[in-house]
Amino acid sequence: MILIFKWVIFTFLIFFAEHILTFKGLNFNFSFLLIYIFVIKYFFPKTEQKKIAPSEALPVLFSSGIGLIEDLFQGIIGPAIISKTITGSLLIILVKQLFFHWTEIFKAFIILIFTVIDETIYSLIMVYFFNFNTEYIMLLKNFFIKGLINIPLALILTWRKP
Amino acid sequence: MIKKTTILIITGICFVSFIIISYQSKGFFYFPKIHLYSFVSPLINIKNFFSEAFSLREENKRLKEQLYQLTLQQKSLEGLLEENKKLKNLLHLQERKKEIVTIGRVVRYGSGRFLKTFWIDKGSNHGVRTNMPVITLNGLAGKVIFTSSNFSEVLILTDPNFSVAVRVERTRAEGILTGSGTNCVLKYIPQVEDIVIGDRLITSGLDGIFPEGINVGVIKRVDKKRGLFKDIEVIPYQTDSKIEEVAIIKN
Repeated sequence: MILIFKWVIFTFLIFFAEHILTFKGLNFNFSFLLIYIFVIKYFFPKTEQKKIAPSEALPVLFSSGIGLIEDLFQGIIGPAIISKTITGSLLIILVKQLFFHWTEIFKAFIILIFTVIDETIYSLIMVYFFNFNTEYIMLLKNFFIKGLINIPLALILTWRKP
Repeated sequence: MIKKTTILIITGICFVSFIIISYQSKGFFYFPKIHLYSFVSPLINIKNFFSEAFSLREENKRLKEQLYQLTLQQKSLEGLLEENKKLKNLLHLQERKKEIVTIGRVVRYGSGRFLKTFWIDKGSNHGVRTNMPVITLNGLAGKVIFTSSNFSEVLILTDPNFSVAVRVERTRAEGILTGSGTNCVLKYIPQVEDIVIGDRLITSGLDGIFPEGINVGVIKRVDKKRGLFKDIEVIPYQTDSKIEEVAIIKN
């Protein structure tokens, strides 16, 4: 119960920060950090909480939930649910498959790539379904900036994990 | 690898989401936008109070200078206005006034993941409605795309999803101006039109959203490419990052 309460507070704070902070008009993708931290903490818990085979459904549902919250803030339901679910699922596969490669540099690389994947899926849906016009080079540049900003934050928040 | 149940859950979520998206994109239903401003606004007000306190002295000095300049300009303009009025009366032309709904202060930039926007501290309680034009002293700044009781979101002129009907002041050629991310692009100007660098653009009022005669920008580059229309880049009078105070006018 306390753990759930902690996560609710943490989620609220992350979304609060995502809404308040901007960098030269560019907003951040802190919500991916939530998924990343959840997956890492879920699959690499403290010794006393270790499960033999943790279920994958919970992190997937958590990713979708984060996507839903993000969509509610944007007023269009669906794009972030899909992008976050796919990104979360890919992250789960990666965490399970590449346990022994989990170094700090590898983690940084994963955070960057997955933030870009999340943003790309979201943008593709918005452009295709809602005919949003966009400058693709600038958009790609923004994805990388968001990914780069996420790296230090994620590394600090999951310090020495796994 | 991943379990079958998990794959089923992922597929299910994505499938349902795609159905919801396609219904929304066709306009069958909309979801209300939730915004954190009711929680955030006290913090932003505190932040704005401190930043304003520091900049007040400088602003006061600048405004005094501006006031003297404007007083001098006003003297010469009064005569011209009177003359213009008389000529319009002779031609039986009706004067169209731009009515200001409210003056708002920019509280923050962006929040949408896809659109270039800023938020102002005035909302539906102050008479602001969606699609109302937003201007600054320099010219057009954008249009209102979302309103809550005390805050409104404004789509910036340079966003690729923004468009406005404009007219070249010198030649009266009409086209559509859209944002390009950093600057703007003027579309649908035929190759035969005489457009040169430095030509000024004003709103034409033909789109039914923006009133006629608002300053929009200056032609920066004209390229003659193949096809029917010219490729024209425009620098807006109002740069994105320097918007502090705006006026919302009736459309």
